Amino acid sequence: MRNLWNFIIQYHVILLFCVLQFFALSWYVTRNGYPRGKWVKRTLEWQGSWNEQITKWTRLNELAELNQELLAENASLRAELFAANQRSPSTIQSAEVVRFTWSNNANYFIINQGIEEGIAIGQGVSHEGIALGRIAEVSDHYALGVPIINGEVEWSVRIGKDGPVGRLSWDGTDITIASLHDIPKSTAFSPGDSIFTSGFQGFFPKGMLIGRVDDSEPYFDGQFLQIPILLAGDFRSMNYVKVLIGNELEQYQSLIPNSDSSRK
Amino acid sequence: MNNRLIEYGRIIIPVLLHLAFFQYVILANGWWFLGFHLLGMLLIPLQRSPLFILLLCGMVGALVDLAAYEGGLFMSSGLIMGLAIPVINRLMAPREGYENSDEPTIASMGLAWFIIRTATLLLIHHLWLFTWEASRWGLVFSAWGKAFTSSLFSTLAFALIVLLTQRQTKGR
Repeated sequence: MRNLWNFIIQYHVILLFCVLQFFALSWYVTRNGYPRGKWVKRTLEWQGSWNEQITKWTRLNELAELNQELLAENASLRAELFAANQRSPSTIQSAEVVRFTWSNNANYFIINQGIEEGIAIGQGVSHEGIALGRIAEVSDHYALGVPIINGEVEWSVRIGKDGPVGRLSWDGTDITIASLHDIPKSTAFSPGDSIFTSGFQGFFPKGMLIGRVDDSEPYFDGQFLQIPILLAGDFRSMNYVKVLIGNELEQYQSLIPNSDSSRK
Repeated sequence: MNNRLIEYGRIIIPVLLHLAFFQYVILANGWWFLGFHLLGMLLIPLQRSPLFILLLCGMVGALVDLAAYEGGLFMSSGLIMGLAIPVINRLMAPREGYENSDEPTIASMGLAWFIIRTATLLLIHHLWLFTWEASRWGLVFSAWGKAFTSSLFSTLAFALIVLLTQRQTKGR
């Protein structure tokens, strides 16, 4: 017992380092692709307002007010258009991006609209009809989203309007290029073909543009093709976005046995 | 009292500046990462105990994680740096050891000492940070590339900042 105590005293720094390192890495590994939880909500609130202030300073010359009016008008027109086409979502909420990262593997963005404006987890985020990401966490006035260029999230997409469905993922290197997986070798496609959302995940309605087939050669892994996709969204100049409110995610989840929403 | 204030200010001010401004700065697509909070860790007095340094570095890292939604990544890297600081300090100690008045600054220890120590510690921190951030083997080489370029850039930036803000003290 005394030896153990002496050992602890002698190596207390290393032991404490191991304990704290284990905690830090567990925190990192278990965050499941994007941050969640109470801490995120709290920091989202205060950091969101600070981010918004910074954004205001940097965009003083961008006629922000006029832009927002135009966007709100645009959003309501698009909502009407969607309603006319009998497609979800039923409402579109315009929002300003107050923070966006694109130099990491697990990128994220923060918008200045939250629960009070009808934003909820799982809603799709788009700009000019192009799918950009989805909401991962919300506080009262801000929401945190994961963009398509997040290496830890996959998206269900389709080649063309009626082509085969595959998984779209980002490999963490070039923010203009993603990879489409699980496409059968027999699929007919050519460079420039459009890639649309499949609508299967419920974040986006079916048929939203996400990118185009790139010129470079697809990779064949022995079973399926891996196709490079040139993303349609310009993530570096993502200043304003539209959140697709009233998407089908909740309705889908209520139908799935043992899903989170059905347990509630 | 004044010295104690300056000592804490040197640690706290870079952390606050990082949280308020530098975490938003993305230079050269992330190849020149400037973790300004690390300057605070580098300026922890040489006489502090390894336990204090480890805890402070872990705490600063956790604070940056909470602000940047990085989920433990900066805390983990901060702990690595916190463990390495006393080791590097010992390896770079003068033959007669550090004096009580010695500070980890250019004015006190000289430019060469500061550059070598800063570059080594930043490289250790950045290699750990970017390797974990990459999370997959395919990105490891670009992660290491980022670690090297960012360490070099940050070392030069920190040396410049310390040179511009230092008090005139008698060097060794």
